[in-house]
Amino acid sequence: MTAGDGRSRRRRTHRAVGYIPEDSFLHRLDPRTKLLTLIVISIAAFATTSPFRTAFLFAFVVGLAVAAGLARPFSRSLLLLLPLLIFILVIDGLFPRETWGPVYFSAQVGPFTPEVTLGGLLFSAAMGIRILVIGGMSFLFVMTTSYTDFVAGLRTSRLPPVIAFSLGYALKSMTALTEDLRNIMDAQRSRALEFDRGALIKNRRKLMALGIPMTVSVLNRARYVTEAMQSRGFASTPKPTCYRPPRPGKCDVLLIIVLVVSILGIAILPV
Amino acid sequence: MTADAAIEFRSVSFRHPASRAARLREVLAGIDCIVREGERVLLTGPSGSGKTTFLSCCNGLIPHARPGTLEGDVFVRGRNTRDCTISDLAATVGMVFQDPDHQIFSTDVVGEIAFGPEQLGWPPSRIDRAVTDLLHLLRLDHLADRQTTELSWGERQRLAIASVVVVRPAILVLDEPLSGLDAASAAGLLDLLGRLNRESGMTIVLSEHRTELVASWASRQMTLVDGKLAGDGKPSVPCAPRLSTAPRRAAKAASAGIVTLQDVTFRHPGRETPALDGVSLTLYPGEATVLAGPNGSGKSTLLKHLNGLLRPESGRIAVNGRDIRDATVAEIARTVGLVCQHADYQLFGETIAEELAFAPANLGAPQDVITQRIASVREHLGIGHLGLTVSPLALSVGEKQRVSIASVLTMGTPVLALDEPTLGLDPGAKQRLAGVITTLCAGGKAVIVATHDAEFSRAVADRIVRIERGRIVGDRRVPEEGV
Repeated sequence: MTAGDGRSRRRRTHRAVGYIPEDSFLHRLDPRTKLLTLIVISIAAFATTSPFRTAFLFAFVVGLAVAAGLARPFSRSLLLLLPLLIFILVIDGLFPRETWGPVYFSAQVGPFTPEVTLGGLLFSAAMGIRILVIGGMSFLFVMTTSYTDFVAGLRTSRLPPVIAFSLGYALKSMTALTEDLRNIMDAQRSRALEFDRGALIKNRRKLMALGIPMTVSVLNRARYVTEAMQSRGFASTPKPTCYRPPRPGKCDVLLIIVLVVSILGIAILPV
Repeated sequence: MTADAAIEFRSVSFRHPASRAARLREVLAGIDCIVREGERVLLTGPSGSGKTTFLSCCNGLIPHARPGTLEGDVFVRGRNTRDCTISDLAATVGMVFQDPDHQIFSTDVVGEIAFGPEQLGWPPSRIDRAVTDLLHLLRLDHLADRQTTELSWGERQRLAIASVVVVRPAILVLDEPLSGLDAASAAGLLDLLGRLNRESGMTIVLSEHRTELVASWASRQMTLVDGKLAGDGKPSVPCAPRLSTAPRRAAKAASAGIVTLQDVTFRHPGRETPALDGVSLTLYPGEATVLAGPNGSGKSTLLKHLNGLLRPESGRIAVNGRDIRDATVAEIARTVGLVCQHADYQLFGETIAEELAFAPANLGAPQDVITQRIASVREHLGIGHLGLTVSPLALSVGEKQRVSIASVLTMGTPVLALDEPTLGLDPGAKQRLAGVITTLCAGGKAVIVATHDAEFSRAVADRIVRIERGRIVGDRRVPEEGV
């Protein structure tokens, strides 16, 4: 593998998931609107086993990403779902919970009886697309919602500050972890450790060289943030002020309308 | 209780839990002192002497957040810290941590500053006024709409201070706030702290290794050694022994360069302004080059180009005359060793011995060579007393930094690049490191050091290259007699 390949891999790691500071309409939305959209889309995806309905839901999510000008980072983030996607397609394709139509393959392998049918294939496709819908919408949420906005949104929804800040920190950690991983890989590459050759998972030294500094970094970061927040009076009053509460605007109303119409449209699809 | 006491320590001792290395367990031993209202206290002492622990006692992090045993009592404006929570003390004592990245958790500048007042329940209109006034006072107005991740180290340091000062605490405690700042930024920060002290009578306690910058600012100096108060009085200038200047070597500029950058330009992803803009530079064997410049000028970016961690958008980089465009980082590491800024990102070995052997083993060095290099590096960097079987993760910040440097030195590369190597080092450790660099150069190696530490720079530099906004704006050799 050339250095260039290694470089591009590093960039993918760096930018795969995390908040992207831009000024798209998705960024400007009230974080509660985005959270509501994520929840509604996820429920809708779970409520159907039709590959066509889930495909329409996925089209809705892709439409949001394209409209926000985030098509490239969005498609890169979906690559992270590839291993899970393949696993679900194989398992649900061979051992579907719904099966009907012509049988293309059937066998007895020990105690298992894998069977490939038309209905099973459609079911596994629906399950795969479901992953893309929920994962894709979650990634869009992470990419367009800053920690500050998210916490403000949760606090305005009267969530206890401890829960609001904990959820906000979890969101922020996704960005921080990829940054830490990049820095740790840089430090170890500088000591002549080759990450680009051989399987990482099979090499104990490489795993240790990444895993231990990552663990230390995660634990330290949690401690530092806790101490910094306490040192600045966190939870010193029962009702802390929300300095800049998010306020829903026209775009929020428009998205909710489009969401409701789309869900209703998908629900009455003749499939 | 003395009437004008801002902070009072009464027979204070602190021990870390048994999980820490034995010699690190007792970090404060029988401290008795009073810091009076309005004082500007400089807290000094070697790495691991207990400065951070002392400061952590002032705002209640000890005993409430840090594991360990506290004996004695600490009073803050008459209140025993045992009887109040950290949050209760937040309106009285503001704490600025050593690394701004450990403190800043919001994504935008205003949100970060507003956090403290929000937690104290201030009405939005009051928060608005306080944030605006403070941004103006700290000359941070131009950063109001910025994301915290976009700020340079110096800007983050100022933001960290702003986010604490905004609630106007009566006492401000700062842990090495000048580390990582260039001389101008450090002077600006001290000027700001002086104004806060004069205008609002704020008591300020500040720990710092760069005592030459702070001695004239402080009204009192306290020195900790091995957890004990070894000195308390008027600050002396200079407070620490000055680093001895290396005997100058004849410049090797006439010989062929070992690393050459030609018209290198680089832009970070998503940024329009280049981090490096047409940089040309040659490093020569036997020469120590100091890379100077303000925070965010491109020093770290330049160093990461030397071993291929970053690749130029345009321009050419050659190591030993060979273009490194298609070489992997590991291949380049045979010639260029790079010490990155944060030791915690690097250390992972179960023992110091494992950590020091890691890089030369990656290069395929024979065991006897590795053993010999480890012995030599330990002796020269003064880390022999740490032993080889101790976990590097159990060390103090300064010790981790030295082990991190040592773990690259054992590679024995012809070129050594160091990014802010003096962060967290006390004067003694800095002196040893300066000696190591001088020895390496005398042995024909090329060394490049990015540093804000003017004293360290004077001690090691054969040549000073100044970089500003990604461009080299100065390149001069240091005269034989000194700077």
